[in-house]
Amino acid sequence: MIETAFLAIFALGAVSGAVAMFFLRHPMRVALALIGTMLSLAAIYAQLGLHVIAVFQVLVYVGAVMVFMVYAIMLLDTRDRSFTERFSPLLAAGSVGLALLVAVLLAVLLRGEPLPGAGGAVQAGKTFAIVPFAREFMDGYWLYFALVAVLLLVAEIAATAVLEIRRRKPVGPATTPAAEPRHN
Amino acid sequence: MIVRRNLLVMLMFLELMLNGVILSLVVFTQLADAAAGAVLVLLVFVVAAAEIAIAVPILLLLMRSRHTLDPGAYAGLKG
Repeated sequence: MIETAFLAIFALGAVSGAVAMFFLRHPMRVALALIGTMLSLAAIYAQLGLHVIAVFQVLVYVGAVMVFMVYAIMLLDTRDRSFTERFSPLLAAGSVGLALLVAVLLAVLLRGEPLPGAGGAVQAGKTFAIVPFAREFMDGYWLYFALVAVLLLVAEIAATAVLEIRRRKPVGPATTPAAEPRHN
Repeated sequence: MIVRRNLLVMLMFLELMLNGVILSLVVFTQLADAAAGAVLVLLVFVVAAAEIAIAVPILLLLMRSRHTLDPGAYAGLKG
């Protein structure tokens, strides 16, 4: 009973955060709403017995991704036009698309077809238990683990390369070779 | 995502959609008891982090060049 209540509270929190993201104007407030949604999702994962995924959600998404975004937001200029005008001219088309999506989801839900695998008792957290998950990951999916490591390395190199792009300095009579900084 | 005027906010909506995908993956993996789904959840986490690590510096460079994150300012290829 109390577990169902907590699940409902955190589900409502996640949906509220997502809806607030749409209506809030300042990007920092949008980021805080997204953090609230992510933390609610982590609580839902923990309630389902998926503690590994809940920890990943908080560490990776909230602790790394959203902190990076907050740093980027702090570098923004508040005089930007995107701060004062929230929505683009595509608002009407986006609203029609949202209405269509909701209609399709409702039609599928109201049809009442059972989900695949549903009906049997599922042991909570069994698939994501740390020891069998780690063993399965390193035994059967080690190639994907290696590819992901390469992807992270490429992302790190790309981020460094992007940040190293500098504006070209204009060449003029006042610029002397001795005054220019050396890039070794 | 397409209705907002700020590129960084669009990126945040992209992260929200990825979270929705992860939630769906987790639920269906639990129902089907498939180890591949659990591995895919972890891979989606990693790919999302790598994507943000590249996308945000690109946005900062765009901000540095045009001093705005309004996507309408980057419509140079529009016919």
